[in-house]
Amino acid sequence: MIMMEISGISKKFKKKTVLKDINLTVHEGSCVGILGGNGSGKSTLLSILAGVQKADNGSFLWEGADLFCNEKLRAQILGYVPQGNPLMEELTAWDNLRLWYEKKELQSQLETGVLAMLGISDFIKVPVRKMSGGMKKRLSIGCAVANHPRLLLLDEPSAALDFICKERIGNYLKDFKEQGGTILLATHDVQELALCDVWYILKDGVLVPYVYDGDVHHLVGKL
Amino acid sequence: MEKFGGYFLAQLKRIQKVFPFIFAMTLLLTGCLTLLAFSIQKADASSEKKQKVKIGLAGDTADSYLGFGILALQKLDVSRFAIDFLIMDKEEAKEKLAAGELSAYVVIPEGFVDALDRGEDVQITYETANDNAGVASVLMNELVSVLSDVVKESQKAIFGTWRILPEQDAETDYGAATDRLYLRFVEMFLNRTVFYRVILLGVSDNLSLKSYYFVGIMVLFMLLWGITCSSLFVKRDVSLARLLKARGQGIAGQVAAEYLAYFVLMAANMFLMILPVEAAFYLTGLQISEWEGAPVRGIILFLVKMLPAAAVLSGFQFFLYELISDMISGILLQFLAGISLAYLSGCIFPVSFFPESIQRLVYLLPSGAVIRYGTKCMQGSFPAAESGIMLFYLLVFLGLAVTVRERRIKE
Repeated sequence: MIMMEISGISKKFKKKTVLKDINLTVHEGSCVGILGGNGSGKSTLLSILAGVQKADNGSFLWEGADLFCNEKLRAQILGYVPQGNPLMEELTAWDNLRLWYEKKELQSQLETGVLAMLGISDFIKVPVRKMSGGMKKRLSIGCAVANHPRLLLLDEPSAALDFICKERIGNYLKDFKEQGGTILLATHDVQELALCDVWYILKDGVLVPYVYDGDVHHLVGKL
Repeated sequence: MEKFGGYFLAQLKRIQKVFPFIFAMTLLLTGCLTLLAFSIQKADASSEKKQKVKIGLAGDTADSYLGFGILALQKLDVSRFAIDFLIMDKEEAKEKLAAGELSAYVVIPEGFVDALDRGEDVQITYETANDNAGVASVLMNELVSVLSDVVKESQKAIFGTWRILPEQDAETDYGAATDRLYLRFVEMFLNRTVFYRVILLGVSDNLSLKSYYFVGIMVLFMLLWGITCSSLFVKRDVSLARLLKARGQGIAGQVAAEYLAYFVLMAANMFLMILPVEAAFYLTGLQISEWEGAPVRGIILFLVKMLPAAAVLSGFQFFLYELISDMISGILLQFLAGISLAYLSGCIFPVSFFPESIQRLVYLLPSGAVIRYGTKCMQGSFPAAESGIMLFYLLVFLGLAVTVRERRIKE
């Protein structure tokens, strides 16, 4: 079942065209990998879909409803994990999560929910500034999914993380997919590529389908 | 609103975590600035004591009347504590003026007193360096003008006496009458203890100098306190702003929540600084005349009135931090902006000391508006116009902060 339809999205920064007529159709429960070199426009595309930036043209439909025009619905449906960590360094994991979760819900999620799956309970009282990169990324995902999103936009979630952490995030994403969640993943990471069902390459502002068969050399040649 | 409240509370929590550090830094910075100001003021005061204006007297000083006058100025008049009158020839005076050893010299023409006696229009020449625009020059201009008036008026009195006496058949010995008049005049001149009364009108809106400087120093501290908050604002990742935006919390709401929390921090800093300030007042015996009788109540009321000023300066600092993302640049920018605005706006020297063009510029500066607002508050009046200007500046800074944040999250 088609859940998401992106059509005709384009974006220019001054005279530079970053996105040219982007069209994409995504099915329920699938994971779409967006590949591309540095500065190819992956992050711009995700931030446009997340509502951080405005597209010059185009539409973004979710079950037929235009999310560009319905901010409230977009905030309900969408979970967005930006490239950095959307965290407050001085505060503990608990305090950061309290910005997004009600107290009761937070406790229950830490015990049995998504936050337990991400292993956040282990460092719930640690201030962010004392956390490792992996802890921060898991906490960032925990913050981003507080609204129980049906669509998850992830901008290079595993960049510079160790294997254990990548594994943990990968397991969470698999589970999210199995429960019917849809994922749009901008990545460079081979391990993350394996999670995806469909792949696209974003080059010179144009999005073209790609079939990834594990041949990294071939992929690098295409980027 | 729910999101705004949550984000505001999270910001307050951040501030609560770092507040002890920020307050300790504020205390340290304020202490250092106070010590620096105190030592500069002390050095200035002692050098002022040593400094006397030197005036050369050249030309015909041999006349007995004139010699007596000069002696009186050198030994009897209270001006001797501020001015040294030194007799020398014209060439020597010229050389010393060029070398900066004299502030000015006076050339008395040959036969000056006799010419005065005859009623001739003779002039004393007063020469000073062109670029000498200091206190000595101002003082001498005043002195010359006063002496000129004294001579003119006494001359009129003498000639008037010479005319009246024959008409009234009162006395035939005009010389003796004139001598008595001279002596009476000299007696009055020398008997004076305080010839003048100083009324200090103040440097801004008739505020006393102490009160003005209290406002100025407070604004200076507030401008520099921004430095201590660098740990809160620099090295910030815009990811949180992006996520908040994606979840429906607009940039204006984010900036407002962060700014309000920062303002709370500034206000807390300001009120907690009362204790050391009060202690300093007590130890130094400093008194603000506007708070006479109730200094504690006076300072608390003043601080409450100064909250809008704190709001504007917090807005300014918040905007500056929005421009910068690394620690060193953040601290440098806050320091340079703070110190230059403080200097230009009259925190260090009253604005009236500056040229008119600078004064016009100060009128446009936010810190200038804050000083004007503070001086009005010190006087006890409600500065309605200044409050409007403050609100305008606050909105400008927050608007700019929103614009910069918008640009940053799109990068």
